[in-house]
Amino acid sequence: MENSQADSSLFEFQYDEELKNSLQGAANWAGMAALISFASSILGMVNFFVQRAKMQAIYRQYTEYGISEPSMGGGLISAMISFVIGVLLFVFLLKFSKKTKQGLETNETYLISEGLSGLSVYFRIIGIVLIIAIIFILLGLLAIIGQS
Amino acid sequence: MDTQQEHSLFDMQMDDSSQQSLLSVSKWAKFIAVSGIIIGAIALIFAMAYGPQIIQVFTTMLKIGVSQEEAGMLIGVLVVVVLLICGWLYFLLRSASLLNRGLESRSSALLAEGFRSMRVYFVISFIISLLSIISVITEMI
Repeated sequence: MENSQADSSLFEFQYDEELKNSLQGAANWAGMAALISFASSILGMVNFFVQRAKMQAIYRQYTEYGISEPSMGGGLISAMISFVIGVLLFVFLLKFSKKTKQGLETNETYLISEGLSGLSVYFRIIGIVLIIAIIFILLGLLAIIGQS
Repeated sequence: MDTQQEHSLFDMQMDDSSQQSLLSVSKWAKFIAVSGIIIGAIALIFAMAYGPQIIQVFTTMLKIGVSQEEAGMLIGVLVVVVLLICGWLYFLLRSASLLNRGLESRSSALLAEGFRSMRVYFVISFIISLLSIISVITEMI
């Protein structure tokens, strides 16, 4: 019953001028945000290697005093994970921007639909990353409480 | 020709798949915004609870050679970042709520308002990424 009601409503929903304009505005800024956040991800990765090289140079100076260089594998893994998430977010946000703009220009609803599915995946990725982060924060808090 | 274009605008209908995607966008965006607000509130409570220690960190920074101007700039940057994140979460939550209400009431005006809020959310995302790039470049130099 609920489904049939939802189905009947589908054909009553139309892209009017106001909706098209606001969707166009969101798609334009989403494209710019995607590009700059991708640039930020690349720069973040470059910065990781630059900072690591600096740290290695500092530790090399102190090896004669018996101070050994700590392992930086954990840092590399977290930097790689951040980069992969950044790339995924870029791909899906850019998909929303490009397909939606194409759909609005050509009046092809299937392109807008593809664009909106990209936006949906974009928010889903952020949500899942947030859930994982919350789990890690809670585990960290539990560990701190357990120690004290 | 204009008449033909106007006519085609009204022929464009939102299909089932688009509505499902929008519903998913609205649900996840709401979850992200609400979680962000809760995490922010917890961080604020911790900051208030450890206020004296935070002030001590700033005092130590001043002692080890960080000038008052630099410490002031750091506080200024922190305030701007906090305000940007608050705005970012507010517009995300507003967008999620308007999209959901628009879908429920089948109002394209509410959907349009939702996408306008989402545009502001993307503008703030753009500014945050730009600030992040500036900060990384400053760190590298």
